[in-house]
Amino acid sequence: MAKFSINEIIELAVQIEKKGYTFYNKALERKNLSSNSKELLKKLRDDEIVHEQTFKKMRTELDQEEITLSGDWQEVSNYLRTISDSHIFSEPDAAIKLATSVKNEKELIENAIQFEKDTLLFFNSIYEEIKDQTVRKILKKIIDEEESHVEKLKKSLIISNG
Amino acid sequence: MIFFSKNEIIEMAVKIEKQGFAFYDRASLRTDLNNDAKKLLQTLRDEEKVHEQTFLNLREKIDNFDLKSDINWDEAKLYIQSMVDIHLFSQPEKAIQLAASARDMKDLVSNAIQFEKDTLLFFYFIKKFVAKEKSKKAIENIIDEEISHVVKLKKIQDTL
Repeated sequence: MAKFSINEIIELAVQIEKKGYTFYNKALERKNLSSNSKELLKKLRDDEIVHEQTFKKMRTELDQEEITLSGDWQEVSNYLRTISDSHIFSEPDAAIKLATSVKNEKELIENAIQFEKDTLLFFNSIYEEIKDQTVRKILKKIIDEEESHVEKLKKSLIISNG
Repeated sequence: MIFFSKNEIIEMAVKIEKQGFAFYDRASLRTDLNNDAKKLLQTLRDEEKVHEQTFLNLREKIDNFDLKSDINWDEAKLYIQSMVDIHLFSQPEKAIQLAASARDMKDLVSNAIQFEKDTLLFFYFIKKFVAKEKSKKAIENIIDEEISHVVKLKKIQDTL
């Protein structure tokens, strides 16, 4: 497998955030959403767009030569490729399909949780491999926000389960 | 609000490793495995056992597993519980069931990858609550090994 460049990694992060936005946006078109869910999905959608912007900015602003990577980069590349390939939204249109074709709100929220988990794993993995403090700080903030998404979704799942 | 103690956090990690062992152990008993897969599943099973022991050792030397004090544990508790609840093997018996009832090797390997992914996410997550460098290092070593599990499983998956 080919090694990743930093640019490719940031591009993958941008794509993940874009798909998250698409998923939440599409999910909001569903009828019969409870008002709690609607509000939550809106908030998560808006967060994803901010994250996408953050990654794009990172790409433009950073002197990318300065980002040092640790470890055996071939192994890390293989690993990142595996988790990005097995991301719930890795297939084109998967995000839209998983927002529209679910039976009910419970399934919708479960897909959202799986999306957040896959995303968190990807960002945590990058975080571990990048030494640059500025990048780490930005990533850390995004990770914290995605973690809070999981928690909010989990809470709403408990409520919808009665 | 009940706080997690360091003991409880280690106990969760131990449980995850135990379930990993149970999954790979049951999986390696399947009769539809090729040699490569069987060997790999046995290696992974044995490594989960070593990881479990590592966490148990951390518990023995509990001073090495001090948790950070500058954390809002009220919030952290909810996070940690969510992370545990969304683990593929969060229900008892789930691990064995997923190893035994997988339709074929493809299904089995994809369950294994999902298990490793969930486990990694949990370890990344608890690492940040740990104060001492030594315990952090121990968790990082385990993370590196779980990463190599994912890569090995993916290689097998690509041949299926």
